[in-house]
Amino acid sequence: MKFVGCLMVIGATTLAGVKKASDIREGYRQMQDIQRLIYQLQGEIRYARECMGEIFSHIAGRSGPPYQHWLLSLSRRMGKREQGVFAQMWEEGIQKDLKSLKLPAKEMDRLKALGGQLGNMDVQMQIKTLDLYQEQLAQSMEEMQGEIRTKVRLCHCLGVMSGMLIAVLLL
Amino acid sequence: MKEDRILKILPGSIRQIFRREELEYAYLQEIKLRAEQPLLLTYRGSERILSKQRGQPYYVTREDIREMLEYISNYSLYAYEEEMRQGFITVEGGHRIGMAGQAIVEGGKVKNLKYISSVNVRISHEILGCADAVFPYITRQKGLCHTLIVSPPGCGKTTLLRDLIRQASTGNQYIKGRSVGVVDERSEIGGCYMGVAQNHLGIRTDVLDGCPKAEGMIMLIRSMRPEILAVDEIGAAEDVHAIEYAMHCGCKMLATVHSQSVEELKKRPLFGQMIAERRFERYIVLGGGQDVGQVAGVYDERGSRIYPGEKKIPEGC
Repeated sequence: MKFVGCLMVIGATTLAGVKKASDIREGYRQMQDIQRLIYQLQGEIRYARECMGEIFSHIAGRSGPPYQHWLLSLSRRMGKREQGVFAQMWEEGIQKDLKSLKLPAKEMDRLKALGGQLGNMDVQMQIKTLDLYQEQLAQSMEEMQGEIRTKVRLCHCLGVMSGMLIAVLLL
Repeated sequence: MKEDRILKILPGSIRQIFRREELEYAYLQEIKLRAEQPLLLTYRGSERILSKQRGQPYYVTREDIREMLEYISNYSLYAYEEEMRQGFITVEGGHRIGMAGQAIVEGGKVKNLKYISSVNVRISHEILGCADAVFPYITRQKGLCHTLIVSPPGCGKTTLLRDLIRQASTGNQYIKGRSVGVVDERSEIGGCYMGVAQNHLGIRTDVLDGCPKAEGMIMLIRSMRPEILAVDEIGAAEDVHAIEYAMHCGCKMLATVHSQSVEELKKRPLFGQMIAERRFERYIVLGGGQDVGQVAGVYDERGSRIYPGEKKIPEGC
């Protein structure tokens, strides 16, 4: 009985470790998604010079969940012109529609702050702002890529080891 | 519809005041917002101060202006960079939003505006049939004469031009329906939204929206084969040259220009030469009365008044 219990504890912690490792990998993949979305936004601003509402609606058509819903609802809210400043809508949209993302907290904050710099002044400034964001994101991704293998291995090991430790303590 | 379009661009607090005031939007001409100053309207031809509560004027805040800028630019000021340089943006419905603040100058030219502190909304009015009175004097043998509408700002020239376009395109008892090309540089004639005209411009009208006039006229002549070309507020040398080119191509011109009278217009070198060469066959002069859109007179190419007065259509049109 005790043996079965120990096995179950080890199994559970191993699964938790695997889940954590998968979240890290997912976070990296989602950073790539955000990078792609921002590239599309930058391209539309640079070449089509459309308003952001229209751009979001176009990009939503080419994106999957949860980005599609986030962009469409943002575009709809912008169309109503009742919600005050854009930065607030952007941040609220991220909090509501992108809460399931596994992005690192630092990247999430940076994404939220980006809203305050969108929609202002001239096209050049807008493109430069997005360039800067992309640069910082690429740097974070590079750092993450270097660490990702170690972190994944660490999560797997910690999962198994913590299970074994608990099992020993229980015995 | 019109009410919605106007309300949509106003900041929330002012929107509420407008809803409470129950204004008739057909008589609304201008809305003036100046930071830290009372909210002013031009309504039924006279100025009116809107109040927050009974007798207490509503003072416009900087936040109101900032919110309004977000709404008028669809949260995308960068998309209106070119318009901002000229000091105004035209929104859905053809309403013109003028702005004043601090100019950003680069290389001696205005690059953009910042610290915007004043916003002036000029309401575009579509009055179907407002050109009925002048049609007998600007047409001949079911065709249109080259016509220039001369008017000071705010006297209804764009409204008149819009109805002339609509009737010339659809056709009426004086003119057979013609294909009309409109170069709508400031989106005021058609009030285009995503390329589609929101105002009635007739069934044979092609609108080139947001395109510089001179370039647009040539593009339309080459691509759409218009019989009539319409442009608003000509003034630059290249506009005048493009008009001459269009006339040589066989297009009839419908254009507007800012001026008090034909006499005043003659004093401007480019237009003086055009008038002397009798390029335009009819001049519709607006203003001179209390009402917006009041026609002061229609003149032929020799400068003789043909309306009001002796209602005789002279030869040689």
